[in-house]
Amino acid sequence: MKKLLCSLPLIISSTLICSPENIVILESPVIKVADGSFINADRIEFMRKVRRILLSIILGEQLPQGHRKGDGIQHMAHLEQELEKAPQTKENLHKKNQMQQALVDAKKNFSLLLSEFVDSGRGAKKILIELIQEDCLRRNRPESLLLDWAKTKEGYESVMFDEQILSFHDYYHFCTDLANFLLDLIHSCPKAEKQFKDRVIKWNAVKQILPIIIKKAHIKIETFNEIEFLKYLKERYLDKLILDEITPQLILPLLMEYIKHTHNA
Amino acid sequence: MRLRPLLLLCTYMCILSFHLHGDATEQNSLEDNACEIMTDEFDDIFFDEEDSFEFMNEYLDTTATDRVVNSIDPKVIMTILNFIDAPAILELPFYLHTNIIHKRSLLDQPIFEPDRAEFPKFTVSGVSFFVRKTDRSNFTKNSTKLSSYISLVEELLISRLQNSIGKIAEQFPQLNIDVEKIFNLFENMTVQERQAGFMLHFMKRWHNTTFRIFAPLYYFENNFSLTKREQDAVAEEFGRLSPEEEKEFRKDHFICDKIGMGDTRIEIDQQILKRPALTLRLGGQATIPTAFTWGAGFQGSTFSKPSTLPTFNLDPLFNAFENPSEQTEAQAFNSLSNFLLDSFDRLAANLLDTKLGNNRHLGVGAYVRTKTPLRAYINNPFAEKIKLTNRISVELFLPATEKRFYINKINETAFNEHNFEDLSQAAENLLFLEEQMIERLFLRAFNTKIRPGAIFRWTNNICYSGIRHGFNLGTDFWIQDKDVFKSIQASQKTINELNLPQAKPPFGEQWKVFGGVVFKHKTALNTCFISLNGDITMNNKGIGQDWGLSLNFEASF
Repeated sequence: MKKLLCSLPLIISSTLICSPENIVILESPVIKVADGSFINADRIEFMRKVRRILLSIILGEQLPQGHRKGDGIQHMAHLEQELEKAPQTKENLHKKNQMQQALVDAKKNFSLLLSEFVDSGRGAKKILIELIQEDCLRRNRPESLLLDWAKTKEGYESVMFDEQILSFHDYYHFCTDLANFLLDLIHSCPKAEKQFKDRVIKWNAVKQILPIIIKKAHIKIETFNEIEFLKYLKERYLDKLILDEITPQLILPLLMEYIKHTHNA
Repeated sequence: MRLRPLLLLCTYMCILSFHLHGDATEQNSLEDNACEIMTDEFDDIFFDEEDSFEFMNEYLDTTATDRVVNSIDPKVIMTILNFIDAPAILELPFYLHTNIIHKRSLLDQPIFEPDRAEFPKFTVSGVSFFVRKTDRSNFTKNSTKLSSYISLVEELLISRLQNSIGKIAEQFPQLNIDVEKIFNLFENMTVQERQAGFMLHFMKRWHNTTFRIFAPLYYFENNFSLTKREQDAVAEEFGRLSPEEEKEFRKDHFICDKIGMGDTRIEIDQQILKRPALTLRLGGQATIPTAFTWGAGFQGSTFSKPSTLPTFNLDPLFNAFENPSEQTEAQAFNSLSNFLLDSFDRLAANLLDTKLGNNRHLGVGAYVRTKTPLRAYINNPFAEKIKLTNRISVELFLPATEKRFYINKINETAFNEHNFEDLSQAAENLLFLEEQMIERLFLRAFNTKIRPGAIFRWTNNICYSGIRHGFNLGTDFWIQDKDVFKSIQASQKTINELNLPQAKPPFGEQWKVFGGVVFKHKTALNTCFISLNGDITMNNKGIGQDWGLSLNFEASF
């Protein structure tokens, strides 16, 4: 039993990763207006990033070839369930206490992510509620805590989260509902999603030719922060570049401009 | 990083689960375990293909934004922009020209011409130390003022900007900006050019054939220039920086300097006529593009020449409008000043950051040299020692690719098609105005195949040659035709958007007087010469008024 329980996280996460796509396309008229304008590449990017972090929280850190460590809250929820069923021994009670403490710490940190997410939608609460309602309805999750959380008065979301999430079971379902909602929202905004995908493709194209440019410009690799340059490029130029035009000749002046900026800073 | 606590959380969970149950993180293949256990309760998470795209995840982990700035409603921004009549401002050009500044090659300067009609021996070798300065470069055919290049004295633009600021001042009475006064501070700004270095030269004569080669090693500095009074006026208006800050600011944005080698000139000619009153030599010349830069950025900077337009986020500005606080105002100020400085750096890249040499254009030409002893016409002892020399040359250049800056044309039709008052189209209108603002302020550099205009030069000189000393005095006329733009390396759509006429420099014309004094010392094996030469521009069009001095050491052996 113990062996089985140990391998459970990996088993479940693998099952989930292999599960076929099950995407809900939201049909609210709001989304048709927002797609490409209010919901743009930046928001899709942020949602993807939040979702990636949620997946790491739920399933554990991602490993090469799409594997997951399997030590996330899904695993914790399973342990919690097993402990509930297990006899109330001193050892099990101790483990339960440990889990409660882990839950408190996890919730505390998770509030930060939630507040970022809430901030990003600040002023659009009504729209968010409408979309979450539709998503929960179509995913057959009428009891979802996400729904209650969305309906919470603006500014009180963290309090609500703290009060309503009392177990890893609740926490897991809240996170999965949020991750699924984000996925559905992303897929319901094809214009914004395309903007974002184009951005990532162009980013990758620049990344591929960057070693050539660095060599050409005689830049000492130890004095150059590639990630910071890619961030700079994304903020200032990437969306305006055309994929076919991404060549060392085009990127080199931008790299020199970045170096001048960092020097000035 | 704001999301870092969550990554810590993941690590924490990992440690805890290990503690509770041993190592659950075996690197088992997920596929291997997929069928062992299924559970209904915890299997309700869904994925799409992007979740496992490696470069997508790398992007999200390294470059993706940590937070989304909450955009202000485009309707609010458009209402403000309409209130201050921003569309009307953006309909007017900011750049009047985008051409490079016309420059004359060092190889064509009269002070590097042989300063005497003939040498005692067959070989001459030497070096000239020189300094040159152009106090005011020409932006256009007749003007050295920045206002001829940028719209700093256009009444319509100034009145529209002042009108907008007046409307903003209705809301913020502390805002007191006099656009005309600010523009006037920079109206007279110009570009100064300094050069200093060595011109190495060598000449060899065989019977009637003469070969000559010379090339410079030099340092140049281009900088934007204001008079002391203008600088004080700017400081009074915008506040004075500390000396260190000012030096740093100048270095970063106002000065470009480089050191290296210039192009090499080769001349070879044949004496085809020799009469008592006239000697005529006919020859060919080539300007070999040997120029390269050894170093740059000593007193100044180098400036990049991007072909792309940046993006500009208006949100910090309107956020400061909506939520005025010290923090939002500082953010807005930083955002705007960085944006304007970046725009200014593109101007600096165009006007200051020039290459040594002639942009890798191979030049070929022909010339005629004549020599007339004055004694053929006047019979006295003084005339015995005087010779009149003439040099007339024409040089053509082969095309080569160089970076040239352009500005987008103003699309009046697009302006007319937008109803900026219609708030239902606010997002689209805002995007259009953002693009227009960037297009008005930012130059773009594209690789352009250029054939420089042909150069005609006529130099005549009177040379007095005594036993131990001599002097020379002459005039020099130089004219270069306009450049021909052969092709631009950009998509046809982009080329159609560019204002090409504004990028074409005017023709350049200079008329100079030059002269020098020479001292010679004769030994058994050779004759050494030390000469001090100078030139100054008397008349010019399309090119700056410059002067130069050289101290030449050479030996004839």
